[in-house]
Amino acid sequence: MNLFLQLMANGLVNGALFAMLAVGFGLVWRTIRVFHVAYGGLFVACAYIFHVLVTRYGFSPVTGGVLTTCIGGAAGALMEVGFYRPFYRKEASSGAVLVASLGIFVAIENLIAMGFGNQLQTVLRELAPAFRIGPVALTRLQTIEFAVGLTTVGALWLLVRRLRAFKALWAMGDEPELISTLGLPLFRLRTMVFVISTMLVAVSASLITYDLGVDPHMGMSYLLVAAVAVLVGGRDSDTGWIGGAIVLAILQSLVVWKFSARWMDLVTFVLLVSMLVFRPQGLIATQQRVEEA
Amino acid sequence: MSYLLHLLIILGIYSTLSYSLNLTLGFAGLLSFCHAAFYGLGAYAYVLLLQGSVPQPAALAGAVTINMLLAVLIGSVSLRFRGDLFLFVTLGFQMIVFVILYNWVGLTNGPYGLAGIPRPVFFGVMIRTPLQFAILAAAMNLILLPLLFRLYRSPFGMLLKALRDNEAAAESLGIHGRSMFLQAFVISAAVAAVPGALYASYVTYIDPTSFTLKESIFLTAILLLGGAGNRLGPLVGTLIMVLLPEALRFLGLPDVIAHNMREVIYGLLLVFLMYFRPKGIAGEFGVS
Amino acid sequence: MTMNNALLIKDVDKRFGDTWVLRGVRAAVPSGKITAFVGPNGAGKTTLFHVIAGAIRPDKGQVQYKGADITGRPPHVIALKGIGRQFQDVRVFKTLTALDNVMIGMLPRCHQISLRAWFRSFATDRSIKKLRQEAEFWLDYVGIVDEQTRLAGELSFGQQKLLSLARLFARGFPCLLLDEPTAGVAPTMAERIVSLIRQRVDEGALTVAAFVEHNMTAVEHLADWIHFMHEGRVAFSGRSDHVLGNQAVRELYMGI
Repeated sequence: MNLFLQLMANGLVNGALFAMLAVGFGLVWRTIRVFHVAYGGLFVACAYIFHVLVTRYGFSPVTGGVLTTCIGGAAGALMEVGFYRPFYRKEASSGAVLVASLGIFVAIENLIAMGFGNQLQTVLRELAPAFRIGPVALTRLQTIEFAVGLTTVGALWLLVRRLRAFKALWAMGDEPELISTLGLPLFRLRTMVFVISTMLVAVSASLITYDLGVDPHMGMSYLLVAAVAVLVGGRDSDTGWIGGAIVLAILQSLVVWKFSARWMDLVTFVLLVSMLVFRPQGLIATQQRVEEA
Repeated sequence: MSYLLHLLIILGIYSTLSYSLNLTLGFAGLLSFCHAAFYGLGAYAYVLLLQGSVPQPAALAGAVTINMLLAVLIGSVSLRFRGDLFLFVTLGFQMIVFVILYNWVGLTNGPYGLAGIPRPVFFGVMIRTPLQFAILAAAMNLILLPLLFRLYRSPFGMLLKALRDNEAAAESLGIHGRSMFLQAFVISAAVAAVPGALYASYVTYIDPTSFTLKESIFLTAILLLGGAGNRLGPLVGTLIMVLLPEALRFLGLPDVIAHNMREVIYGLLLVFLMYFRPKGIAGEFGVS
Repeated sequence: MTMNNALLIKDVDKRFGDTWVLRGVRAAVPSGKITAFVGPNGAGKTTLFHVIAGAIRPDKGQVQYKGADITGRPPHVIALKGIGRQFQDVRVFKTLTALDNVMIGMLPRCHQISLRAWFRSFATDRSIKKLRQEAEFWLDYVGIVDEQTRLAGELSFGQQKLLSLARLFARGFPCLLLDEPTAGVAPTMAERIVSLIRQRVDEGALTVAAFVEHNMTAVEHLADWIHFMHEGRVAFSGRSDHVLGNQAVRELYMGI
């Protein structure tokens, strides 16, 4: 029982991290209508930026994290202005944008591998002190991860419902041309989405790097986590993304408990395929628009 | 010299893989990320059948059949979707296949792989030297590619192209999209088993890390780069993607860097192509 | 008046979210006549066609063709039963030539699933050569035979409309559903389209035709029978001169 609770706690901590990643991915999907494969590349880039800041320039993890988040935001803006926007202006097909996004991801990942080598590199830190909450032990880092994830995602969840800007963003996802007709700044809204999204990536990447280290190929795994969480949770619902992330993290923990760590990925993808087959709208379904057949 | 032959063998393997994927991607217009899974399944099925004392020709036929059956299963599920979702479901299956190959140690020996794969024997001659394998690879292409070309040129190929261009319009003419797509998917997967078997007998050792998502992405990228939907594109793509790291090494770049550099180059090439020329260098089908 | 009702729509309901797009729609499309569905935008005409053609399932109701229930069958099955469809946005196969476009429709069913479909050469096979000649005939019939080797994507919108008609005529569908066949083309082209449809009906090859239209001139020239739709219902049905002469219809429709 204690082990079960411990694994649930671990799952919730991971869930908080995954939730940040899921929201970052889902935001772009919902508002820009793009399968943001390059998200994985941005993740790796932020991870390495954090790593370099902390190990090579000696910044504290907190400062490093904040700096990485700022740089991440800038990178997000750059990605929109220099990459997605030209494709939008060109009215490229969604498949073409996806493939181009994949190209960017591959390029970033391999540039990093060329520059930093292919091995895992960690951030040196002392063994973390653990807190005990009843039968469950969590390291200080885990508590921080959970807290950061919870506050970030929670804050966004609230903002989405309060700020008019987000209503505009949702509408942007449905009818982008309408936005400019209504006099709203389409391009500035798009940039804002990418800034927020990449900042979420930067925060997660910093935490994960501090915890586990970096390697150039980690981007794909976390991209898949984010994408599966969004697809399983409900493509257009932000509550769904968060829910999907938590379900995924807890399921992974349980699989580790019941079977072994080796089968974790199987769970992720069987969950994905089963959801798409049996409940394609995800855990939390949103209203279907009137579609032309 | 033997290095050149090695390159030819690799080209031969990827050529067949590309032309088989071309049927699904270029003609049916379905972008997928699971072709490496079928490549790997073909290799594993062939080797496991050989280990079960099945004679070679039967083992090859068995591998093709197993791929067909699995493709019917995977395809039936995946083809409920189109576009991004179809891509993602096939990605899911690719990962599932990899995890099973990697972790079902009892069947596949897991990460340790299968070693000691026997060389192929044709008419009493054991294929052993690089030259012999190069000839075998060429023969594989000379047999399979014309078959694929017939399919491309057939009414079936035309119907696939119509479905690719506009599925709703094709269905309104009585063409059943899911059925046609499934046939294309199954044929692609079945053909992929053969280079899988060849690869296994060439390197005499296989493990799941040769058949990952990364490899599937690579195979799809070959067609996106070189072009799909016709007969020239896959060749162009295969030549560029396989020979590029060799060219880079020739220029003095160390091995690992050369491979990373190839990835960077093709990644950026994809970006430029999708912006300026979504049909790829020599293709007929533009990603939509 | 007894009519051979080839296509019967019975009490069809369709709802999207909170909006009722079709409400108890009842209409008959008789054999040997051209029937028009008219009405203001949003009246549900196109949705009704989607339902008939199998692209959308109705929430309630039935669609019958020649006495058989075809409600909710998938689009390709509806086509195999003999109902062809022209889309409002045309939807030709852009990367295929005009000739190939027509031939696609003509490939008999056996070509789809048998081994023959896999191994015959589309270019050189003899039975397909015959199809090719027929396809040329139909391109000539609609008047675009000179464009036969051009890719369909390169044709003008009007030419694409003619191409899609050729595709349907070549297949020999006894029943056609045409969604705004004259929309978006110049008046001369619209006239040509109208006369082609009328011609096929007069030749006896097309037994049932139904179309959705806003172009009232086309409706006047073509339709024998009109269903006037308003807010998801068939508000008025009858012979075209009766409907077009009706005061209420004129107010509802022309006034909008």
